[in-house]
Amino acid sequence: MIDLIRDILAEANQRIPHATATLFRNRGIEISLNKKDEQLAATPSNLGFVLSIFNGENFNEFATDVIDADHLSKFCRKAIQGVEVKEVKHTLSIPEKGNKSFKTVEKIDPESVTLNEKIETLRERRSNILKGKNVVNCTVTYSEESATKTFISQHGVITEKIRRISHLLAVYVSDGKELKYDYHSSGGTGGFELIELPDGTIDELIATANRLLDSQRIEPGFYDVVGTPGIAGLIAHEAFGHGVETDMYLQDRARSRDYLGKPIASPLVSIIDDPSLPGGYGSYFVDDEGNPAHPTYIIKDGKFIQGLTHKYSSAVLGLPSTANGRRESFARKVYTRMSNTFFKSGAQTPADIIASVEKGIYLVKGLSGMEDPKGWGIQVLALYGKEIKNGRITDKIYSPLGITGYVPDLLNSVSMVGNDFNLDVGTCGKGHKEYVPVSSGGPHIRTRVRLG
Amino acid sequence: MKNIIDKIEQHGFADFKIMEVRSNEKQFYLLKDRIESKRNVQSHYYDITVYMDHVQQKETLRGEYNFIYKPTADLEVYLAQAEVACSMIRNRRYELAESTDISDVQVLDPRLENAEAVGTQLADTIYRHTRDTNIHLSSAEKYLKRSDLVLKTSTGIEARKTKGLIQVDITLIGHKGDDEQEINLQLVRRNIDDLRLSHRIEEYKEHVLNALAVEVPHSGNADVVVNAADIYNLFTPVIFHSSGQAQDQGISRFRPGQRIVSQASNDFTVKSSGILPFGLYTDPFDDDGISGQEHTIIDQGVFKKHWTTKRYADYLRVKPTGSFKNLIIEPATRSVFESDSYLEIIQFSDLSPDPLTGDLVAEIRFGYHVQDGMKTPIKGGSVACNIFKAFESAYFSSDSTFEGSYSGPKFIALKDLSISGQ
Repeated sequence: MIDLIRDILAEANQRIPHATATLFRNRGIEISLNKKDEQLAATPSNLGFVLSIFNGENFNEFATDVIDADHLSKFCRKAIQGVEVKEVKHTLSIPEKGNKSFKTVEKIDPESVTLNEKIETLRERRSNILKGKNVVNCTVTYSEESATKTFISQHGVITEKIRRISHLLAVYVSDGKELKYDYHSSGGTGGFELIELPDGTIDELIATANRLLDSQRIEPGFYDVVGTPGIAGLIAHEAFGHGVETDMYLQDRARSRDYLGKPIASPLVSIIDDPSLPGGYGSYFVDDEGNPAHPTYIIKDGKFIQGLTHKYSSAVLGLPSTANGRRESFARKVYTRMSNTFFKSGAQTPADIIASVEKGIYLVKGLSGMEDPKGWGIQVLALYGKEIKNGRITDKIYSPLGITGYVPDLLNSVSMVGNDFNLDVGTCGKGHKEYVPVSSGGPHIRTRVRLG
Repeated sequence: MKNIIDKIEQHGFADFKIMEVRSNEKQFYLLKDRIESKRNVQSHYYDITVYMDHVQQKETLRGEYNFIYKPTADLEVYLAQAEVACSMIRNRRYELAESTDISDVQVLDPRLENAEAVGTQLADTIYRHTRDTNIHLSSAEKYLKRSDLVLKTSTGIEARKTKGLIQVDITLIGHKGDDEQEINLQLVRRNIDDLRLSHRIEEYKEHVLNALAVEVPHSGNADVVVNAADIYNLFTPVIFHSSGQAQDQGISRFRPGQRIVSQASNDFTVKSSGILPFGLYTDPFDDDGISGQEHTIIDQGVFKKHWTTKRYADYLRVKPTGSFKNLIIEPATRSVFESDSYLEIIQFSDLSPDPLTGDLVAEIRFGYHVQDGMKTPIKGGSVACNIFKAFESAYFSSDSTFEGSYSGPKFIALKDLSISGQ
């Protein structure tokens, strides 16, 4: 079937400036347990085919999930015939020549672990959580997905097989009046080894959830804060990730365009997007337009170096290709999207950073965020934060916390960057749709933000 | 469908539920004054759940497995996996619904038959209303979808429905000298007329021009007006705690016959409606085969009953209502909201209260500080509250509106919320 599609594309390219095809195929399972119920399902299907035709001026895409050679052959030929070729206004980069194949490295192949072992591992964790003080319920989930993508052009066929694993534990406690929770999530690209839990994780979750029953509301205002890698990652992602997706430049929707090559952050700040990072939940080998993945320095030593591009934004704006063209599924269009976005590690230990704060908040666990590339606002929600007084974390805990601010102020306020590093597992939307797997993270950072 | 059922029966599953979905979607992407992209998406698949009972320690348990089957795949592979999976999952038994009366509700705009023409018409409207002094169209996306669905179950349900969906996402840029601001308008409706596209664009043009002179609101406490577009999200903790699942899991904060908040300035009634004309969650029948219905969940501040899918209805031994559908709010009294100074929020960056705790922190993307009738545009900072506490002092507008998945007062005013600003 692949050879057939390749032949059709070669024919099409005699008339049409740019025609490619992508075949998506995934399989996997999702297991979800709570106190009383168990769910087991195949991961949502993304079996589908996209024919993408650029007529010199705009894209015409034809997508279907009816995958058989006869249907696709007729489908492609009909679609190609119907496209009106225009004068070439923009030249898209040509896919790499030759055939290539990539696969995620797994220490423990999830398919070598029986379904029963997986379910029993989760049941044991559920059982341990439910024994905890004041625990009224829990959620224990596990998801493994093998996503295969075949990118086809007249120049070659590139196939990647990505294995993504995610695992979540959520603990719900109640004292009869209040209901609170804490969670732990892990995962990435790799094998079953990614669901290993650090010692004491469940006890710590139960203890923190119980402490949240006594949490306080914070007095709104500006605070010196230390953010964990999870919080730092959310800030990087929302502040200078979405804001440099250059399809937003085409729409006049990103203020960062005016700051290309200029200082935008504290010299301690470097932010990188790297889809080629081994193990990241947002990692891939080629993007959804066939571009080989590689790291991009967005900010280096405080200076805005480069935005992220997909093929169209790169061609129209004359910017380098960064392999960030991604689509939610065969049913959606390609946009410029992040992959693994993080602050680069610095010199200080997390303990030294906390010790440097006389009065402030240790922001511990992120919940969600929202971008505002035009207004350069930022919203990050944290489940909780702990008081720092005279360089020590006290017993006082605040929940929930909203971090808002003006992006350049926030990035220029970064005064310390840790020497640690961690990436969180996440899902990212563009606005309120187009969800793709990503990770974000970095080291501990110290900055100053508005909390509410 | 018959071949699929035959194969499922050959494997000896106790029950099955199959939803066949065929859909066609046209997508249009406008970039300023030109078309960036057009897409045509065809889809055909079967959403299948199979059930198998097994006995453990003298208790009959139910295993289930859900998967999407596409006709060109090998069904035998899925069914073999399903057999193994079902034997391992230990759920309390529940029954599938046995019959359904299909509700005669409006869920398809017949004009979607010609989606290409509708797309062109919407583009014309967008262009016509966005060419203006100091305003330009940044981008617009339009999604026009028609889906045909057939539900078949082992309990004899066979039902068909056709649904339509229209999504429009428009970003406007306002400019004054070198200064620019944007505003984004997202509309999801089943009926083209319900988009009220010309009217909404004109409304947002005014907002984007006002956004060129915004201030950050002051920290402290303020009364906050939440508009209809955000009211469904505002009520997600109420919807969560009124679910049969939350009750079954022992985490619902509501008890039938009791008030949902201990004291309230204004009581209100909450209904789940599966029959609201062209409502986004209006449904002739749901995935369980439960017909579209309307249920009063909260009656003038007093919790009446949990909404329940068939599964949780069986566990709680009540009649199923189906999943929560469109939100209808009817205030018991429409006492006038009087405040000399309040914040009217046109758009939050993301209004997602925690469904479990009711805690809410949301950044103000754009709004107005209204003082003595004078409006000052605001942006930045955040609003924080606990929804259940905030509902103790909620005021409702006297005029009503329809907003896709919500029907009720045009706005809700919440008194004395915490504002983090300048």
